[in-house]
Amino acid sequence: MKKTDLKDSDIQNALNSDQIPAYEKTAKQQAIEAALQQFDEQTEKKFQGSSLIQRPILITANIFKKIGDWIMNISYSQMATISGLAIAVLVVALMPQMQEQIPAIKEQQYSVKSSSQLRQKTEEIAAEEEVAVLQKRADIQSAKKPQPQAAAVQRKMLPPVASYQYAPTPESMANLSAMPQADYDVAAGGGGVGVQHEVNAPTIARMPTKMARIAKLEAKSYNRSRLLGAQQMAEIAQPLNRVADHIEHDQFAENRDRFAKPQENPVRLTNKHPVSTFSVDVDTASYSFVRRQINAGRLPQPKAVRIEEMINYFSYDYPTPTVANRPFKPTIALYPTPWNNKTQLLHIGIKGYSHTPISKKSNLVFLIDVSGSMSSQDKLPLLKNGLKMLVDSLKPDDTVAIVVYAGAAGTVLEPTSVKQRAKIIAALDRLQAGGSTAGGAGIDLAYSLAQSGFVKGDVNRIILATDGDFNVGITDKDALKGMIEQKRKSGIFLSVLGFGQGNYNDRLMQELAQNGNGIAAYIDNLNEARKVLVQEATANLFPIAKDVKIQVEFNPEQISEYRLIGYETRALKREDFKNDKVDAGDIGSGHTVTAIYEVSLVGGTGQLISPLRYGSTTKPRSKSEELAYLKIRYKLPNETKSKLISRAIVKDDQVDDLNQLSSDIRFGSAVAAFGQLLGGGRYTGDFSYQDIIKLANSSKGDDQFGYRAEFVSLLRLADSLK
Amino acid sequence: MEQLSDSDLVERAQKGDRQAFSDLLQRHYQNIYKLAYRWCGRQDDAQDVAQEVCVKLVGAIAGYRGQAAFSSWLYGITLNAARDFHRKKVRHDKREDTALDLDQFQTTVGNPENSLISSLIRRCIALLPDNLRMAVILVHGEGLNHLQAAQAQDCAEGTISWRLSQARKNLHTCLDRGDIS
Repeated sequence: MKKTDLKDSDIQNALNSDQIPAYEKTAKQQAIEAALQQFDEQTEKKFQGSSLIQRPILITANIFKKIGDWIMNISYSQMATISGLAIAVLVVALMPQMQEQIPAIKEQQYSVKSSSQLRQKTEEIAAEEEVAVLQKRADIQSAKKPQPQAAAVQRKMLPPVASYQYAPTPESMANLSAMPQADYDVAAGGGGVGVQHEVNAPTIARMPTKMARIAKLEAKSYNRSRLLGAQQMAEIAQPLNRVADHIEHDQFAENRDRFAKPQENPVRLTNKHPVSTFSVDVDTASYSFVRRQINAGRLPQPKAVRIEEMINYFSYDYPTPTVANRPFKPTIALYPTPWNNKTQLLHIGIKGYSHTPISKKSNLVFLIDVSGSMSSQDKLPLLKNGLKMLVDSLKPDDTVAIVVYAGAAGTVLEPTSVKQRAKIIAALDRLQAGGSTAGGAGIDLAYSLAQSGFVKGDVNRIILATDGDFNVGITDKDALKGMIEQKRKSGIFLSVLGFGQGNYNDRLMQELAQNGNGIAAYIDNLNEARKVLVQEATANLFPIAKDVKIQVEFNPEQISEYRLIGYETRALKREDFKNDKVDAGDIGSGHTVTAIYEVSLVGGTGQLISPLRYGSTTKPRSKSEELAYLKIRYKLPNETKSKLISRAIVKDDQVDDLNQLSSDIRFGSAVAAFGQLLGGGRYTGDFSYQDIIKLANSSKGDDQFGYRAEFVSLLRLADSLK
Repeated sequence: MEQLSDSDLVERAQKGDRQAFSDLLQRHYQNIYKLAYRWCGRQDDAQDVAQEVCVKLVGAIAGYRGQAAFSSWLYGITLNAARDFHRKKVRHDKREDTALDLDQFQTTVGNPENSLISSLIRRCIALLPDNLRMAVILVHGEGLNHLQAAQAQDCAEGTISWRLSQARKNLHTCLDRGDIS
């Protein structure tokens, strides 16, 4: 071989990572477990010598972990189990002294917590929460009583470990859990205990009898849920999730899927806040995610529930506008709230102008995550099938390119015309999770390919598909968002498709899509892939209006309180409505968007906020009969100046009987009720899943593709899980 | 829960956030393993090294101050661990030629001539002095740029360029001699 022969590419080929065999999954697990164990030990050391209060709590945490590990994973080394139990005994032996101090300290902590809660929520503290706090106090009180029994249990428990010098077997653990339960039924068992921060002294007192059960709960929060039955998991998950909401640093969340959700929109006094402003949202990711969770036998974390995305998942047959330059027409209805007979729902439905996209050509770049985690059946294989369906629905002149990324990034398919369908399909078929191609950052590559095929006025879009491992080369997410926004301005849009579970980074997906003028959709099965990629392809690919904002001004003479259901992540400042520099959501061809307010009419009895004793300081100025005034601002796809559509909401929009409404509107309210119930049901009173099922069943309408029927079966499932 | 970037996770992990630490490991295991494999050439060794790195990170992460990208910093730790591991092992096994291990590389699919050349190049790379070999693996194998490789090897950017050119010379000699046993 001559000197001149050796090129960089030769070296690169020699080091091509295709030749590296994948690691064994168990090896990865082991490595991470080993490291986390070390991590726990170090954390524990760090806190040694600090205050008395922390110490016992940390010890107990460690016991739970160790016992949990042991129950769940018998192959854990014997040394570890013995030491785990030894610490348990130590704590039990310490208990009499600890019990004297700790309940008092804990109680103090609770009162601090509850008063700060009160401060925070002066206006809106929910009765439910107060009850929960009281309940916890009651627990502490009652836990003081059973001390003698606890001592008895200690005696029972000590000898086995002291005398049997052997590693305890699963049976001995079973014995532990079979010990007398009497007063010890852990009231907080479903709630507080599972989460580290709630472990308290009374829990320690109960520990001997319920050790196994607590350990199970704890083990659950260590993601070792696989051995628990689905039913048990669901039982545990729901209260756990509620508690998790109150905890700031929730290190032990049950699942690594990440969701961002601010507080649920509060009830607003029209006198104080007459104007409500938000951006439209046509994302549907939340509904698919919720469906997947429920189908897997557990209720989703309340944080994962974005009601507007659930409502907008379904298409509603609102009247359509007929001209493209006035792209939508609002549908308004005011009707009795299904879950509260004292209030009304104000339903605002918008359907986008639907045009047949014959003239436009699509230049699509698929940016596909092929990291190892994408290998499971519900990720890459599903994605491939979905993209094949999309390719089949494209026009011959459209082009498709494929870029992959994992550790490194590479182009798998240069922009290829759909005429060469076989070539595209073959490239998709070749995709494999785990491999990686050398090259620069994936997203740069994708944008440069999109740029190369860029035609002004056509659809130039990158479709990013990932399970949340977002190593596309730019790790700083703000830089990433900035870049996507920059590219959007140059006419290349980005949509995000989420796959899989366990690692799903919902918030980032949403943010990226928002910055890229695209949709974020979560795809959990082939049907969903078809819905998003094929049926809605025209909507998703052809925006008819961008930066669509909605503003509703309520007339305090007519409406005393209102509450926007959902759209928490889409709230805008009042002044941003007219500011064309402020970005908002887009609406595609044929999309529908629905927003629902729950309102209390003046003179009604549905007010949640009590009137001020000394009256309102601001006198309403208007004597108008109008209930509210709706304004919609939007920009046409190629324009930078926004246009306005407005409409008064008047008494004529009011309907007294739900049955007079179109099935679409009733169905929308059923979805809103479901979303709220999943989110904690703060405002839905006694309204049950059964009530929603009734409402949804009566409003299925045409349901051509069976989506609404599926919704009803989801409700049934959720009902059995609650 | 909502953080994403490495630096956010690192910061949390440094404060004792177990989940953040676990997330970091989940995210980077693949890269650690891959790099370890490049050095050791065996799946089981690479897995052992990767585990060692994960455990090491518990203590080491406190020392990370954002001077380099986390991934580059991690590359450095991994390479050092792999080198130490391999030295120990070679000494233990009384093996003299690390290149032997690289036979474990499966042959490349496709053109057999290419795969032969690739295999020759790999053996020569394995015979390079550690520092040169590291630079080659980081830049040509992992696709790092010179700055990132410099951060991983804790040296100046220019040093990487020098090491790469030096490595290329050695590789030429090695390939020209063709005396790979």
